[in-house]
Amino acid sequence: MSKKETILEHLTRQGVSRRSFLKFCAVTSSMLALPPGTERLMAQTLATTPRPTVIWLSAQECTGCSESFLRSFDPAIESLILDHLSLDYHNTLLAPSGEAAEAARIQAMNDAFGQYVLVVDGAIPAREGGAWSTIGGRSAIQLVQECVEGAALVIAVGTCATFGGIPAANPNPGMATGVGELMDQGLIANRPLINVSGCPPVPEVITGVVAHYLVFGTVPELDELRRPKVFYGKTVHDCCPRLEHYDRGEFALTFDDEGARNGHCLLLLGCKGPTTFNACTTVKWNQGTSNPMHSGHGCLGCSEPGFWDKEGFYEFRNPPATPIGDTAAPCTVPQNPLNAL
Amino acid sequence: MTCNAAQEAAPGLPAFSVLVAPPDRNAPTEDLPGNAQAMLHQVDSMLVDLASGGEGGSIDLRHTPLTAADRRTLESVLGRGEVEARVNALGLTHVRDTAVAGVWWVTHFNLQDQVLGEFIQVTHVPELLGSHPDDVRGALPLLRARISAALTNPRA
Repeated sequence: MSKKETILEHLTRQGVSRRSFLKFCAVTSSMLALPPGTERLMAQTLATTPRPTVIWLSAQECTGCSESFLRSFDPAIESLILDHLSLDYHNTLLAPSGEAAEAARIQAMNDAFGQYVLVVDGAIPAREGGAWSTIGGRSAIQLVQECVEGAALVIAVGTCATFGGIPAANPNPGMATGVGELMDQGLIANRPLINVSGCPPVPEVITGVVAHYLVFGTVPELDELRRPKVFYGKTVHDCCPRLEHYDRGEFALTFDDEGARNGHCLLLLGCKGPTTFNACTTVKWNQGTSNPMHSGHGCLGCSEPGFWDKEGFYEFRNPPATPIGDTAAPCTVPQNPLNAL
Repeated sequence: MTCNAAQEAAPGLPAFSVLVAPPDRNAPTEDLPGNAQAMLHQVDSMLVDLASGGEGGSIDLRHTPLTAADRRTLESVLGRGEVEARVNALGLTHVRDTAVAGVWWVTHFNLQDQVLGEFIQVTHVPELLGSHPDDVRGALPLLRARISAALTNPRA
């Protein structure tokens, strides 16, 4: 295999200046809450690091996670992620189809065996040998088994790939499950795994995790559900724009009452913010514009295990007696610097 | 951020508006514990390091809970110096020195002029302003090509 060009070489060839590169490093470091000064290490590392190969497998999914990843930024971001990461296989995006597409996957795996990043979106059904989800005549579980073997890192994107999500909802006829569960059961090889849950995940969270790996080649600090703490360390409730009203005991009782119009807390209308760890209220959606509570709807709890079956969207439950998020940390998370590219 | 969205009324329904307002960060904050003092001590420590031949350091303001009063205190104590630079790289970056030599205030914006990051840097010159040695080495062929082109076609 010929020597792969480094990320800096690739950026330079794309017309990205050294100063833009340094700015990218400074802001990415900030977004990932890394200690000040890390941007220098980041710049030095990226200048000499070959572009990592990424193989993206999809199983029982709706393509919403890919949409979130690819479509929520200005077009330049696609260039950064797709080109700079060397996304060698993504069965939705790949121009070839059929055997040619599968040949591209095998070629990419062989060329970077033991070094590539495997991204999985969608749940993987295990019943009947995985026959409930097949691609090219092979089951999703076979493909994941095969691809996990040579992966240096596995990123499960979306609640389906992390915890089973909607395909795993009762009665879960195909025995759909997430990547971590398959590893825990010994059905696929154990590899470093990052869960990026959400239905879909906040786009900046996906790219932030990828940026971390790009820079450090390691897994960021994870919570007990293997989610990166920098994005999942706080509950949606902790940084909710309606939190002030919750603290005052001001609750909306219907979606169109006076309280709802005045921004009162939506907890009694089923908001799952207090028990949902996600970046919706820190990073926000649509390039930092807003989140569901801004728009007048409560959190659905889509980034937590059991999403869909656990309880009804509009079902009220008592909030936890004590805060469960990292309430001491500031709510502000810098916007994704990749947006600027 | 305040979100005050007036909704168009659907046929037969009254119009309504939604106001979602977090606490006013510009409200009087005298009774709030501030971080400005701690940060200024941190700047002091970094400046001691820089003055004695060390590398100085930087403080990421986006990850430090600052009240409006904290920010005013920082700006007031550090003051404004003589240099103010605008770097056009992936959107603007404002680099300005403070009245305290070696202490710089750097603000990164994206192409939509939203703040991406904000730092107090303690250094002789922020790295973003200097020319990197690799770029300087690569600039020589470029300069010679430009000179050659100018000599070949002086009217160009």
